[in-house]
Order: sequence, then C-alpha cells, then structure tokens
Amino acid sequence: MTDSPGNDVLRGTLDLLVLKTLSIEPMHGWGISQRIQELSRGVLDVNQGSLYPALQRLEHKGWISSRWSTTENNRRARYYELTVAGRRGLTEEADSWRRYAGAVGWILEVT
Amino acid sequence: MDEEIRFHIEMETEKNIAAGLSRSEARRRAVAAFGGVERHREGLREGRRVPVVEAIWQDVSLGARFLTRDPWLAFVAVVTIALGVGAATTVFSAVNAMLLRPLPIAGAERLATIQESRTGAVSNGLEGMLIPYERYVAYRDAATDVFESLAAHRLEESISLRLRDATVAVNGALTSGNYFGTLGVRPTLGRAYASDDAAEIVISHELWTTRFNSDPASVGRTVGIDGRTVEVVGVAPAGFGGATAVANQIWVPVGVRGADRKSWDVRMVPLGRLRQGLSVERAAEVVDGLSRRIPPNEEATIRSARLEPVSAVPSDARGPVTGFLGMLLGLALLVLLIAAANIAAVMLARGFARRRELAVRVTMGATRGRIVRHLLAESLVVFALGGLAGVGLAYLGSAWLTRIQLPPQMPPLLLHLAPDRRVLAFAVSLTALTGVLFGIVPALQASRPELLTALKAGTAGSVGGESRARSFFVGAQVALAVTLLLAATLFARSLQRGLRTDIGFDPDGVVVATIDLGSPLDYDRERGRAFQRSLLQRIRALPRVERAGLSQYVLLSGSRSGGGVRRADARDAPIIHASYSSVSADYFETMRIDVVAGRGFTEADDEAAPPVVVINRTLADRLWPGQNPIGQLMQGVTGQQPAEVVGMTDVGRYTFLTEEPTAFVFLPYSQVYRASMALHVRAPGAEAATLRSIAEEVRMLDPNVALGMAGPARELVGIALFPQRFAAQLVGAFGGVGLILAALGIYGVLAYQVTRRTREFGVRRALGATSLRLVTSVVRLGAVLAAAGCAAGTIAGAGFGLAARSLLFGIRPLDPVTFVAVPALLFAVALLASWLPAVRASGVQPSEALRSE
Repeated sequence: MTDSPGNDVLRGTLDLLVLKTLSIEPMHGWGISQRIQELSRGVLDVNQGSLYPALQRLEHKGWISSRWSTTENNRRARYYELTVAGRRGLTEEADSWRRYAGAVGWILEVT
Repeated sequence: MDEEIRFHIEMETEKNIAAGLSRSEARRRAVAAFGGVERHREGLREGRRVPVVEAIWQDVSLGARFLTRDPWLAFVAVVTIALGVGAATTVFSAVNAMLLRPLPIAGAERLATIQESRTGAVSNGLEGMLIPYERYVAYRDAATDVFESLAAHRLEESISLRLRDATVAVNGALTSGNYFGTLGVRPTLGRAYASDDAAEIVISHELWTTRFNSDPASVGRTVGIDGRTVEVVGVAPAGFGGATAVANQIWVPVGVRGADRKSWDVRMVPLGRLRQGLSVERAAEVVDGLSRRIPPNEEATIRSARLEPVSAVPSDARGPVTGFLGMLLGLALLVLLIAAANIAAVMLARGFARRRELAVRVTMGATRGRIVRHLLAESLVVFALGGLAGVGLAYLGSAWLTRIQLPPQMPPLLLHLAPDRRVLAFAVSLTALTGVLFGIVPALQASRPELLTALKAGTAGSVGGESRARSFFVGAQVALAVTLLLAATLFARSLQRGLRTDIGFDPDGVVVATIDLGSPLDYDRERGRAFQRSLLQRIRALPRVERAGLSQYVLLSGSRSGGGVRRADARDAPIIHASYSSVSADYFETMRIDVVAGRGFTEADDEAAPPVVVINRTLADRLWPGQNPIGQLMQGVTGQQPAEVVGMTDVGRYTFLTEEPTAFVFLPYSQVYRASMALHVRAPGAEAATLRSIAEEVRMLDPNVALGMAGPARELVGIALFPQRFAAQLVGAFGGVGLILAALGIYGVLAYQVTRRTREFGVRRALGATSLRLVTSVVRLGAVLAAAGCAAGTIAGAGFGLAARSLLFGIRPLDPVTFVAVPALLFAVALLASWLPAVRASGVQPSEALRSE
C-alpha cells in the first residue's frame, strides 16, 4: 500500500474520515471515496488502494460492519455501516485528532 | 473482494464517461486511479475470500509443515490415534461381518426364511425355527405366488462321511433339492443335486481342497453318508458356506435320511426367494395366513408365521450378539477418545507456545477464521495419518480375529472379517469426526482475540482459558482410562471366578466324546443298548481308565432338555420347570458328582423295574421343602408313571455357568434310552491316548459311527466362558493402552506447566522455597486432576458394570474390591507421572530461571 505524492491522506486519518463519512449514512466503498472528496471540497483525494485495506481494518476491529445489497441502478455492492463500537471509536479518534492538530498548530504559531 | 473492486472501477468509469471521456479512456483512467489491481489483490490476500480448493490445499500444506517442525511429537500423536482407530475399526469389522454384511449370495435381500411362532415345545437351530418336512412341502406348494422358489435347510453338526481311507465327521446342511437353485449359487465343478431324494451330495470348496486333494475327478466319486452310498456331483464355489454364518462342508438332500418320504422325521427351515415386485409386507401377510391353514398341525398349535431376512446371525441371537459387540465397540471408542484427548491437550500447548506467531498473522490481516482453519488443519493432518495407520492395524486385527481358536463345540464360522467398504467408511467418518471435535477446541482457544491482544501488551502469563481447557482434557483422559480399566478388571475377575465356580462336578482328567446313533444310522433300542454296553465294557478295559459313564448331554455345553415336573401325590401341585438328562449308572462316579442322599442308579434300575430318578437339591427344596425327598414320587419327565426319587445330588451348574440355580433331574439310561450320548471317561494323565483309543473302539464296533465332539472336559467347560475370556483379553489390551496414554497425558501437561513456570520456580527458590515445597505444588495440580478424573471414571465404570451385568458372574457388578483398587492404581500412576516433572521443577536454579523467557 504505497502512498502516492500529492493530496493523499495519511493512513490514520483515513480511518477517521471513513468513520465520519459512514456516520452520516451507510455507503459502499466507491461512494465513501466520492463523499470524502466532496466534503473536503476537492482537497482530499483518497488513494483508492488504501481505502479498501482501511475498510478491512476497521471491520476487523469491529467498528464497521458490511453487507451486500443493491444500488439504485440495481447493481450489487457491498455497503458498510458504523457499529455502536464504531461510534464510540469515532468520538475517540476525533478527539485525539483535534488534540494533535491543535498541538501542531501551536508549534507553527511560534515565530 | 473482486466483485467489490469491479464495482468500484465501473462506477469510476461511468463517472469519467459522464465527464466526457471516451469509454476506453474512462476505463483506463479508472483502473489507473485504483493503482494496480493485482498489487492490491496481493496485499489483500490475508483477508480475501479464497476459492475453496485453493484454501484447502493451503491448509493441508500448512498442516503438513507441523510434521516437519515437530517430527517426534507428530509421530507419537499419529501412533496414539492409530491405536484408537485401529481398535475401534477392528471391532466394527466384527460387527459388520456378523450383523451388517449381507451373505455372499446374489440378491440376498430377496431371500427370506419362514419363522413360525407356536405354543408348546419348540425346536430352534442356528438357522431358525425348525418345522416338519411335510409343512415345508405344504408351504412350497401353496405359496407359489409369493415365492419364486422355496427351499428348506437345516444344519447338521456331525454327518458321518466315509471316504476311501477314513471316516470323518463333517459339518453339513440337509437341504431340499432346489436349495442351490433358490439361492442362485452354482457349483464351480459339476452341478447341484437334482431332487429331494437324489443319492447325490455337493461338497464345499474347502473340503475339496483338504480331503479330495483338489482333484477334478472328485466329481463322480462315491462316498458313504451315514451308511448310504452317494455320489459327489458338485463342488461349491470358494467362499460359499451356506445360508448362515456356519461354514458347511457338505450339502445333502433330505432324502439321504431314509428311503421313504414318510419316515423322514426331519425338521427344517424354509428359505425362499420372493417374487419380483412383491412387497415384503404383502408376502409376510400371505405366509402368515397360510401358516394357520396348512397341515399338518400337530399337538403344538401354530400361532403365526413371519418372514425373516437371511443373515449370518439368526434373528433370535441378534440381540445378545449386538449387545456383546456393542459393548466391545464402546470400549474401543473409549481408547480412541483417550488418544484424541491426548492430541487435543498437546495441540493446546503448542497453540499457546506459538501465540506470538499467531499474533503477527492477525496484525497482517488474517481473520480469526483463517487461523482456526490453519490450526485445525494441523490436527486433521495428524488424525488423517493416524486414521490411515489405524486402518492398517485393523487389517492386522481382523486377520488375528479370524485365527482365534473357537471352542471345539462351536461349528466353524465363515465370516468375512477383512475390512470392506462399509468398515472403511466407518473408519474414515470416525477419524474425521474425532479429528474435527478434538481439533476445533485447541484451534479456537489459540486464536482467541483477547489472547493475542494481551500478547501485544507484553504479558507473558497464561490466559486462564487455555490451561483450564488443558486440565479438562487431561482430567477426561484419566476418567476414560479409569472406566476402561474398571471394565477390564471386572471381566478378568469374573473370568477367574467362573473358572473356579462350584459346578458340582470335577472335569479334570475327564475326556468326552459324543456319539449319535439316531436317525441317520437307525439303531433301534436293542441295538443301541447293546452298542452302549459293549462300548462301556471295552472302554473300561483300557489301561489308565478309572471310570466311564454316559450322559445324554455334556454339562455346561449349552444343550439341555427341559420340562415340567410336580409332586405325584397331589394332582394340582405346582409345576416346577426342571432340566433333565439321561445318564448311565456310573456317571456320577465318573464325574465325581456327589450323591449326598440316597443312592445313584444301578443295573437293577432297568425297564422291568419301577421308574426312578435322582434329583438335585434345588429341585428337592422346591418340591418337598424341609422334607426328605428320598422315597417321594414325582410326576413329569418320566412319562405316565410317577417315578421314585432314589437319590439327591448337591446344587450345581448344568447348562450355562451364568445360570440361576436350576432344578435338575437325572434319568437312568437303562430306563430312558436315548440314541445320542456323550461318553465321559476319567483317565487322568492319559487324556490324549484315551481319546485315540475311544475312536478306535468305536470304529471297531461300527465303522459307520463317527465321533462328534471329542476333547478334554475342561475345555468344554471353557466354552461357556468363551465370550468372557475373549472380552477379558481384548478389554485388558484396551485398558493397558488407555492407562499408558492417560499417564503420558498427565506427564505431558505437568511437564509443560513446569517449563512455563520455570521463571516462577526460580523466583520462589531464590526467595527460599525448599525443593519439597516446589515439588508439592506441582504434584498438587496433578493430584487434583487425577482425583477429578478418577471420580468421574468410577461413576462411568459403575454404569458400565450395571449395563454389562449379564456378562459378569460370580462377581457383583459394583464389586467393591475392583472399584477401590482400580481408581487407587490410576491415582498412584497419576501421582508418579506428576512427580517426575515436579522433580525437574525443584532442580531449577534461580539464575537459570530468570534468564529464560
């Protein structure tokens, strides 16, 4: 799982974004990547090669669950959704991200 | 995964098309954006759902790696499983041969025998319920719409066959003329006989090779059967012994028994081939209806008739045989369970030892399911190899079974004991079932998520569940071993008791030979009596012969006659059922049966004198409780006239060693003549020579007479014990194996514990603990396991004792000595097995301990 240069997302934060996206509504993999792109106003472009391993990781942790279903166009796709544990995880990860980002910000403020 | 990726790429393609790209360009961009599908596939390998075949192959090769990493362990494991599977499969091949396998006759499922049920006296043979020849003929003529062909047969234990150079007694069957045709069996040489009264016989393949030198010119030779000359017209196919499990050596048409059909006082069992398309139920209905209508219907009333399938073991013996074999199979399965528990405990330990390796795999994305499958595969590979070796052992085991010396009284059996498809299927399913059951638990234990996350945190101690599971397995092993050993000991003690049981006579130094002067030879009473007198005279004149006498039956051989007797002085006196046998005057002295009151028989008790009997104490107490039976009159087995009781013997055993106290009546041969007799000769120290002389004397008196059974009386008593003896040997072997396995199991668990707790021991020693304290702490664990196991095993053993009560005698099913000694023995062995690793623990030096781990 290589990170390509450019507007890629760090692995740990990818999990966070996936969780947040799924907290809005259950979604399939492609939908998640599109939604992240949208919601970040085009700034964040998910490396699709990293997306599926992340989804797998989160599922293994028990934070998301998946099931096969059909889209509006009658195609079969695998939908993911947040579990109860996942909701709690989202809150934790979000908190720790804010702390992290805040700390980085303080350091950058130092002139 | 593939489908998901495909979906993703399609959606991306469509998005690109909507943005204005051409289809091919859109797709190329979509794939590129995904960043190389193949690479992702590799990276996702651990979590992907792999096609089944590939997955199985992966697991198998991973499992096989276990064999190379721990070859010794794997070898021991395979051997233990092989022992368990081998034992169970061997017993099952006996079950198969006797109860499940159809006879080697084409279309055996359309064959059926007619079994009647009647009130009054019944005759039963190994082939079923015997009915008079005329009734068979009546069935044959009346049931043509039910049977394509109806034949009849009966087994004859000793047919006197006179060859050029010798007269031998062979096992055979008397049959109707259409017997071979009905069975669909064609002689390989020659042909079958043509009719019920042809002067022709068919010999078995085995007899042809042993007595006729496999000479093709045997067909057409004449031989003597019971005094008549007949022609050998055919040789049966190899492996064919008749329509029962008994191995017949010749087949003889009914007519050989006598020139005139009416004089054929023969009872046989009808055996027929049902018509195609007719259901068995419908056929049974018709036969049942016929049974009440056809003549002759003698003094016994025929109640009904039913159809029974043709099988190796006759229907009324199936119950006891199933019980006996079922018990043996259960015990063999216990051995397998012990072995499997051993393996499970070992796998648990290994799983724990490899927890780091497994944890790494989890972080690489392996699901718990994959890990469980992998660990299960390791167990299954061991079980599979063990099962294979076990099947090999079963081949050996069944070869050994066929060579067992059956007691001389039992006719030779033709049983296909080698493992066939059914037995192999049993072995495979047993191995698979045990393998999965005992492999899944360690696999689940070793892959528990908490265990692996605890590892990441660096904790080195054991997680409770794993050692609990191991302790359970070892405790279970001990329990199973205790049960096995209890069963083995109960049998062994019962056997001992049986051989020492007070049977009421002394068989040592006595040889027995049976002779039948009955219907084949047609000795009438005069000739018969004369023969008996001359024979006894000549035998008594032999050197080293102390005494000789005759009796109708050989005691404890399972044969007897029975009837109702009552006191003669009251018409409505209660009828007591008693067994009886005719004996000659000096029989009591020959067999050293004590006549404790009155006298035995003398020459004066002949047909001119009033009828007399000698009874045993059991009967005396029932007919005349508290009184002297001598001089009393008894009505029953002696015909119309009441008989006077002239003597009384003590209690004894007459038919079976396991029988309840039986009332017995001795009748004098001189008054109640019987054509069949068993000659008993007391000649201590000269048994073999005496047997030979007996054969000589008989031949000189009449060369047409053949001896039936002949052998030392001790052996015949042993017959009654044959099932117990066999079971005791087999179960003893099982018990021994079980004990060793259980001891190994305990040793293994505790040795492992010690290794893991080396650090703890080192610390404790450094803190001043004495060797004794360390040893005790280890032994204590072993003792607790052993105690729990012994308790559980004792309960199971008690259950076994109660269930197998009919096979045990002379010993209470819950015999206290056994139930105390065996668990104590196992407990001691367990303590010993704990002590050895404990000693190692106490030798641990503190420095070494802290270094390890």
